[in-house]
Amino acid sequence: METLDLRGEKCPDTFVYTKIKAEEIGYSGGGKLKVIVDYPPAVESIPRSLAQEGKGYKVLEVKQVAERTYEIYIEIPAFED
Amino acid sequence: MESIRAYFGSKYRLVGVKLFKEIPEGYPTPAKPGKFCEFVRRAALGETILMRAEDEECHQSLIALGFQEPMFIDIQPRIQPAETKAVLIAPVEEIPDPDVVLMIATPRQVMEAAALLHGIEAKFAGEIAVCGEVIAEPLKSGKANVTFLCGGARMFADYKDSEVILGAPLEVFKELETKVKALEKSCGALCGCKTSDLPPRVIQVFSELGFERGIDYFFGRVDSQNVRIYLNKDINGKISYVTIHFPVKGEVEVTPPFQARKRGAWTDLYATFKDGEGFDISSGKGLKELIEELAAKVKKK
Repeated sequence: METLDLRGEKCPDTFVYTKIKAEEIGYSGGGKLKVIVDYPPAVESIPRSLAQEGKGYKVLEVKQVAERTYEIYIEIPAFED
Repeated sequence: MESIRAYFGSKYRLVGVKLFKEIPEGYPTPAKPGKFCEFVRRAALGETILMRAEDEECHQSLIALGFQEPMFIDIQPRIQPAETKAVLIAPVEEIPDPDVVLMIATPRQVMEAAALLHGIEAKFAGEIAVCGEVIAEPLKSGKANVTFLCGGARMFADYKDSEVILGAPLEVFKELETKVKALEKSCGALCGCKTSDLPPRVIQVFSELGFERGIDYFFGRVDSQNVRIYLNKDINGKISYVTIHFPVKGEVEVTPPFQARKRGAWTDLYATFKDGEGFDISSGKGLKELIEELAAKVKKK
């Protein structure tokens, strides 16, 4: 599983970086991605924005690991070229 | 509310925001989706917008404004429970009974508003800002708040770096309006237009009356009293008010038309008059008589 550490980033950059990484994984055969954020609104906006992409992203779990630090686990399907 | 805008010299209109649990008829919806903070800015420039959930691009705003409940964590501030179906955003005069009023302002304008409101306890975090910090938060607390906006608002909604937003329930802005109107009548603190900005004819009038020219007032002595005279503009920028001020050491009788303020051992006795009501600023006609009449009314206790 790949990890994207976005601590220190704020919206909308948190989603933009997540989307770029997710597409990279999707075009490489799919897989899982762990995104770490310390900007609480991103915990809500990243999953919703991914859902709007319509690419079959699935948020598996959201875990709070410290005060204001969260991990978002995302399953990314394989994309066809 | 126009008097607030005029007092603060804002180029933006005050924005009213009203939340609906049913979508109301008869209001224009945006041609394409945008962000609430962007719609607020457009309303400050005169537009009326009815924002439904499908018109909002920002997920955080949907939560903060009560369109949706959070799915994963409880982010705050937000309107709860989430029962909002539409939000009307428009110049405040065009919304009957808005829930919240917003003023796009400079830090200086917020400072002046805070002074009039006897302080604002601001609560902000740079996230969920226009939708949360100055809509949900004032609705929850019933008090004014200030937001310095969030990354999204700064990036997408075209706010200037020098702009922040003051938000408060309508009642708070009504209080602000009352104070601003009172200041218009009393010309506020004892200060006036800079005399260097006055027309030469007006300066000549006071010179002919025997008054010296200070930075923002004229001063002289009448009937053994020190007198200061301040000239103030109305909300249209016209010099329309004259405040005649007698600084008196000790206690004095305060009788109409005087008002008084204590300043240490001194009492500031002052009265404000509108141009045209018995005198004329541009010609000086009637001014000397008015000042002498007032000086005769200054009575030490």
